[in-house]
Amino acid sequence: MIVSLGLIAFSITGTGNIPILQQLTNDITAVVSRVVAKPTNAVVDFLESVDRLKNTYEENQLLKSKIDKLYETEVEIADLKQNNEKLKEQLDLTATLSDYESINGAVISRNPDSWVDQIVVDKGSQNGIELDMSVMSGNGLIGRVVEVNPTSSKVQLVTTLDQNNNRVAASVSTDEGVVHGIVNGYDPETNRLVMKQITTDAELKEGDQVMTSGLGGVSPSALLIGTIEEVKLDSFGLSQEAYIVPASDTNDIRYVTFIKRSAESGE
Amino acid sequence: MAANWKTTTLIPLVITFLFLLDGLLTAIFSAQFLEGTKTMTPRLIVLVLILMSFYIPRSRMLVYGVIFGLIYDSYYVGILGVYILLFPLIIYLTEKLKKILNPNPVVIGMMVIINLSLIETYLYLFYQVLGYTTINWATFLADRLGPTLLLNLVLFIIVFYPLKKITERIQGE
Repeated sequence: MIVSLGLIAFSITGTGNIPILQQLTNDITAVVSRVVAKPTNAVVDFLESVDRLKNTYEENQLLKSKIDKLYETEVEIADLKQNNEKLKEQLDLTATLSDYESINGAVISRNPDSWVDQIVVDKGSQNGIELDMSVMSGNGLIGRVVEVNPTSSKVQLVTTLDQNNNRVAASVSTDEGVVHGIVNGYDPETNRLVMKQITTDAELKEGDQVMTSGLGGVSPSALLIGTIEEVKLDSFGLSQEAYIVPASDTNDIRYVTFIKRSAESGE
Repeated sequence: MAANWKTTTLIPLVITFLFLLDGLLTAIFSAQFLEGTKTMTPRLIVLVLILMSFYIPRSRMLVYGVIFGLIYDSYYVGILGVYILLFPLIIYLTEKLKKILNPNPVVIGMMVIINLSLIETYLYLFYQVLGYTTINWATFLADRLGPTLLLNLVLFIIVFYPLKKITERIQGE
């Protein structure tokens, strides 16, 4: 009992830098876990591909109509990119907040005891993973790295119950400019994230896209978080709260992308 | 001597496999297990520890409890000291009760329910104290304990006979 309490106290006060022994234990477990996870992932992939085959026709029709629009945007983007690069050259900007490198990884297990919603991924410090890196899945932000071992790492999801350690600096581009806020909170009943501390004079509307702002110091800017579904005043009436539908489903994660931002945080 | 070698290597191997299966099941079936506010937690490791306590001497089971408790803490949770206390505790409890009860499936099923309730309640209080969660008692009972017990009862029915046969074979030879 006393030993247990001592260990709890020891690990709570620590700040992500875990002892070598624990790193070793985690890595060995991760290696064995990978052996079990690989075949299972293969089977699930196969089943999923069969499932997808069923809706191929409908999807194809839908996509065809979208493609026409895409051509136009593509040309536009190419033009904008060129412009952007030229302007950057003129300004001597080497690394902006939106530049990042990505590292891909596969999920090998998830904390069964979901009080702390975490997944274990098969990439670690040897692959360039660092503490507090942002993690994406599909096309949306899903969490951040909370623990790094040499060959595996733990990612805490944005939907975890523990909201004390979970803040993402976010921004919304509206017609009148950029609105800033902090995504800090999750509403499990409706499966929506909550963006807080938005000034009351900002006018947000349904369907606006929420991105990371990169001002939190760790994540790059312009990673999609989700789309706004509802905006209202918070319980004190001092600022607004926006309810966001996450861009990626946190209950269907098997492959993730770690985002390493190129700009130094200057800490 | 040969039998001894088998028990010391194969039993931990079986436990390890189920331990990893817990995490894998959660990763794959998370859409089903974490539907809305309801949360189901697969606890195959607890099932196997309880079942094996009926066949394997206490001193050895307690060592397994501590080791797997530590790995569980380190690998899944990241906070040491939670399961390292819980696993030996449930093994001790099962050992005490097994002297009074006879090991038929129904009785073991009851033991599973008692032990799982104990574990979930302890965890709830623990995370409540640490401030990881703010849900109240009634929500906990309805959204966590209920579904978890239900899921594990189903898992228990599935794994009981295979596990029993495996344990008996490893111990018997």
